[in-house]
Amino acid sequence: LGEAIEDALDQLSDEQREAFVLKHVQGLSYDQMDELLGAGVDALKMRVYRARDRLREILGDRL
Amino acid sequence: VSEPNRFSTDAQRYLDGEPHGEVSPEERAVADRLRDGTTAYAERLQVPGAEVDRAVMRTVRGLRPARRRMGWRWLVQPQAIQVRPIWVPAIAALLVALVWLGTSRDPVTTAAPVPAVAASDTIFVHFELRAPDAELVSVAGSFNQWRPGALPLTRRNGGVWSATIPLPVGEHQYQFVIDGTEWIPDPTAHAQIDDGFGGTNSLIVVGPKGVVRS
Repeated sequence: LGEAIEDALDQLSDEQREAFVLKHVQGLSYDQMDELLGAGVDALKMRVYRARDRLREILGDRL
Repeated sequence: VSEPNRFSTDAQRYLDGEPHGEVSPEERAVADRLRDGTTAYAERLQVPGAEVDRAVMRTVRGLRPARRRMGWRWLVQPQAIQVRPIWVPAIAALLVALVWLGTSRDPVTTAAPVPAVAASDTIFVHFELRAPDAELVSVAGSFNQWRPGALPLTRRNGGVWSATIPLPVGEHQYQFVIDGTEWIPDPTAHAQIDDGFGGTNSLIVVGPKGVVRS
């Protein structure tokens, strides 16, 4: 599944991928991500949400 | 009401570890699988047995990824590019187009001081900094246009921060950035050089078989 996720990440937009990786791979909080990217916590949360939805869509039955 | 293939808001909050309302067992199972799969993916990124080499940045050999496996990381990780002057206007135009098309981010300068390198060679380099009081440490350098947040380090026990980053063969300058504001050279770097602005950059030379120590 880890490999499938890596491949699925390829299909996200750059913004979604960046947000998802910082959140779930690097394990940052939204506040820390905001410090890094300066996009605002709400916007970053939305990117992560959309990234998860997109991954769920791509991975389909594998989840 | 949630659409198929989309997580409910409660499931999203569950994944964020925040207080949440009821999440159906089915959706919770999907969320757990996504989280566990991501953890498995993250673990594969870690270097096995990364014992601390007190000497500094350590090169991890034999982990050079195939191009395909680099996947998107190739896009977001530092790459040194050798550009012939004749291509500069075309590349500049392309970058402007890409920035215009693709992103709301401020365009970063593309004139970073990258040396000539054998572009296809990438070596994993281990960066480490002891900073027990830091909230956030990242490494910024000529390999990532000096963007302070682009490459965050992960905190380990004892306040040691580390990251293993693929770098192209060649010469790179960098500094650590603590809490987004404080720039410091790597105290354990092999060489420090004047950055031309009254500060000090750390220098690393990456050869085809590892970090070069002269």
